[in-house]
Order: sequence, then C-alpha cells, then structure tokens
Amino acid sequence: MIMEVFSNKGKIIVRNLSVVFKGNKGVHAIDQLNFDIQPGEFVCFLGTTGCGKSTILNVIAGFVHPTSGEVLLDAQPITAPSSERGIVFQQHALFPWKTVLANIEFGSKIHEKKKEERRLIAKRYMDLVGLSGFENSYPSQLSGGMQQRVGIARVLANNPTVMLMDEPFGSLDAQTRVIMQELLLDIWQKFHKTIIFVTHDVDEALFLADRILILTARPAQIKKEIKVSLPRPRTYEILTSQKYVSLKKAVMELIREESLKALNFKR
Amino acid sequence: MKESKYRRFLLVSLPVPLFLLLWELIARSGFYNINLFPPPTIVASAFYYMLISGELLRDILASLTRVVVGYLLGSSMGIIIGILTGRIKSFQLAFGQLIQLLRPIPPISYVPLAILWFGLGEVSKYFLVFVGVFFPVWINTHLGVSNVEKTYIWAAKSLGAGNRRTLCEVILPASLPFIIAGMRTSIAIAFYCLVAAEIAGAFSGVAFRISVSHLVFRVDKMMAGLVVLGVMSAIADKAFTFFVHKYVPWYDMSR
Repeated sequence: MIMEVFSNKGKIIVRNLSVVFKGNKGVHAIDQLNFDIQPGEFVCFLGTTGCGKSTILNVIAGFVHPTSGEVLLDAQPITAPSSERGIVFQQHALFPWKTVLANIEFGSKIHEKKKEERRLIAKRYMDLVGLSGFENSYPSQLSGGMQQRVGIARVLANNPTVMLMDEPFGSLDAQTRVIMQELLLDIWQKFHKTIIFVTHDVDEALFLADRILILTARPAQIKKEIKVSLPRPRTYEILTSQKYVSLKKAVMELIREESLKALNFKR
Repeated sequence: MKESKYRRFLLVSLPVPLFLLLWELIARSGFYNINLFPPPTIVASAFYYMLISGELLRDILASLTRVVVGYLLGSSMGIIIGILTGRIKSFQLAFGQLIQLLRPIPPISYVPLAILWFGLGEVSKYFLVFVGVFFPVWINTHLGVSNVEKTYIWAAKSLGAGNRRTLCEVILPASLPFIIAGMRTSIAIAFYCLVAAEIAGAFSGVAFRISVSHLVFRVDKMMAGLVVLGVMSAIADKAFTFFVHKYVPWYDMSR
C-alpha cells in the first residue's frame, strides 16, 4: 500500500518471548512467542479469554517484563513504558478526577508543552473523535463509547509511533462497537500508526486487521497467521460479502478448537 | 402527592419543637431538681449571658484554635506518612508494624502523659488532637495510595509520566476519596480529643467551661456548652463537605 511509504517507524520484533508469572502456581502466560509487525501495520491478536493476549500487549507497553526473550521497537529493546507506545485499555482508565479536556491534555502537560499548544492539540483530537463540546465533562458523565473515544484521543494527542489496544470495545453494545471500529479505521488511515489490537471477537479482528495472529490457549503461542485481504477502506458492508464470510468460517474453526481446549471440553 | 409533602413537612419540622416542649414540661413539673435538670428556656438564658459577657466567644475561639491546629498537623502528617508507607516498600516494612501497634491505643489515654510532657498549656491540646486525627488519616491514606488501580498508573506511565508526576498527578488524586473519608471521620475524633484535653486541665475552652460549671452546679451553663460543642462539630463537618464539593467536584460523581 502507498501508506507504508509515509512511516518507517513502528516496527516491532518479538523473539522467543516467554512470560511466567511468579506466585505459588507460576502461571505460564506466554511461551516462546515470535512475530514481527511492520511499521503502519494493523495487527489483531485473536484468542480466547485468559489465553495471555493482554499479557503480550502489556509486555510491548513495558508494564510487564519478559521472563526470557526480547521485544524490540525500531531496533531498541523495550524495558519500560514510554509515550511512543500509547495504550487504550479495556476499562477506559481515564482519570476520573480530570475533565475530558484535561485527560486528553495529560500527555502534553507531562511533556511540558505550553498551555496554548496543549489546548490546540487537545481540541484537534477532540474534533477528530467527535467529542467537541464535552471539554468540561467528567469521564463518569459520558457513555461507554464516548469514554473510549476520549481514551483514543488521549493517546493520539501524544503522537505515539505504536498504538496498543486491549479489547477497547469489548464492553460496548454491538452497534456502538461497529461505529467505533469504523472510526478507528478512519483514524488509522489518516495517521498510519502501527496498531496492535487484542480481541476475542472474530468479526472485530476481520473487520480491522491487515493480519490476524490467532493464539493458542494458555500458554499463548501463535497458532496461525491469517492475512486479511479484504479491500480498504472498509465499511460495515463488507461484513456480508462472500469473501468475508469464508474467511470468518476459517477463523472461527481455528478459534473454536482453542476454546474447547481452554474449557477442557471433550466430545 | 400533596398530602405526602405535607406529611413530610410535619415529620421533619415537628420533632425538635416537640422535644423542647416535652423537656420544658418535664423540667418544670417538679419531677426532678430544676437546678440539676434545667429546662431549655433557662439553658437559653444561660447561653445568652455567656454570649454577651464575651466568655463564650473566648471559649469558642480557644477550642477552635486547638481543634484546627491539631487537625491540620495530624491530617497533614497522616497524609505524608500514609503516602510513604503506602508507596515505598521499605517504609512500609520499617514503620508499618510500629504504627499498627500504636494505632489501637485510644487517643484519650494519652491525656495524663500529654499533661506530664507538655503541661496544661496549648501544646498538650494540639498533641492530643493530633494523635486522634493522625491515625485514621494515615490508615485511609495508606489504603488509598496502596490500592490505586494499576491501569491508572500504567496509563500515566505510557503517556510519558515519570515517578514524581505519577505520584502528584495520579496516585494522590486517585486516593483522594480515601483521604477525604479519613479526614471526615477525624473531624468528630478531633472534637472528642479536644473535650478530653480540656476537661483534664485547661484555662479556657468550651469543654473547660462545661467542666468548671460542673464544679459550681451551673448545669444550665453545662448544657449550653454541650449545645455549642454539638453545633461546632456539625458546622465543621458541613464546612468540610462544602469544600470537598467545591474543590473536588468529581468526588460525588465517582460514587
């Protein structure tokens, strides 16, 4: 795609990544994981609940340290959280003591930007996610979809090279979810940042991603890589196209195998 | 609808006048010595004379200063130590046990010690209020600070915040609801400690006035003093919630 010429930053390389959580049981979350993500690529991790997919994201974000293996962003090892890797959480994680505007300005404030500049940046991204007029509201006064839009704007305003998204639309109703997915695709097409998106929703992964990495039940390994060759820009209409349906069937079979394994379900 | 509103009005507004009336009647009935159980009218006139003689205002000012100084010292210390023990592992290990050992000691039991150490002057009053206020504020701050939702801290760090900014911009405001709860409980405790300190030995103050009036059988002045203490404590609580509402507007929303 032409877009890929725009950005050459945001390449992620993961080699032999394992994560074992300490504690009396020693949960083995990730086992010998290897993958590359290209600059500007939209990749979805698709896996069943509790398979360790959020842990992958937390390692890339720098919240969780690998037990072994390495994770590189643009050839630099990731050791700690940084504003080049913004994250949108499942439970929005907006600061309830700050207004919408102050939440979006948080990154600029940390980076010591001048007040006028902060305001300008924040307003731009509030417009982008369609939240103008809600500057002085508090997060608890917004609906779930609006809260996640603030979460996205808060990350974008910080201009990261990589956006990490941890089931950000998981708690929204089905209609709102599709609208949020379309909004996210618009944004991605505009800024072309690398996006790593974690979900357990097959439709969501197919609709959004260039590439889907299907994970096994815990410990997470890559079961299969699926290239989603659906045309872009995508709208909800592709959800009923022939190609989409056949892709979905293939993905569902794979993910079902893992769900049955995770549930220890034998038939 | 209209009827229930009327009912509500009666239910809210009647009990106090009825209570006063009943008190007046019983006290005047000769059922008990009127000097030991004076009716509200006599208490009110005692209150009036205390007020115009200037005695009451001096006492209120003295008590208020003690409560405010002790409260501010105790709560600011509680917040600082709470942040340290809640956030820094080595602090928690070093001081957590110690503070937990001291915490269950009722603050009033420090009264004799405070008098020996600091005499009957103001310092012993500040000290007792301080002790009473410190522990609940500390424990609440400690709990709040050590239980900040992990995603808030992660969000701040991934937006570029270092440790100091995360503390000021995220950990403190996130634990504010806990700190506020601790500080509010402490208002009433501050008044308990004030009363204990003034009764044990003082030269002014509302509880001191109650105590000396007791020696001369002025039960009317004692009762007036009780009412004043009650009103002071209630106003302090109302003022506190007013400031919280004004300066922490998200506090009510987030509950």
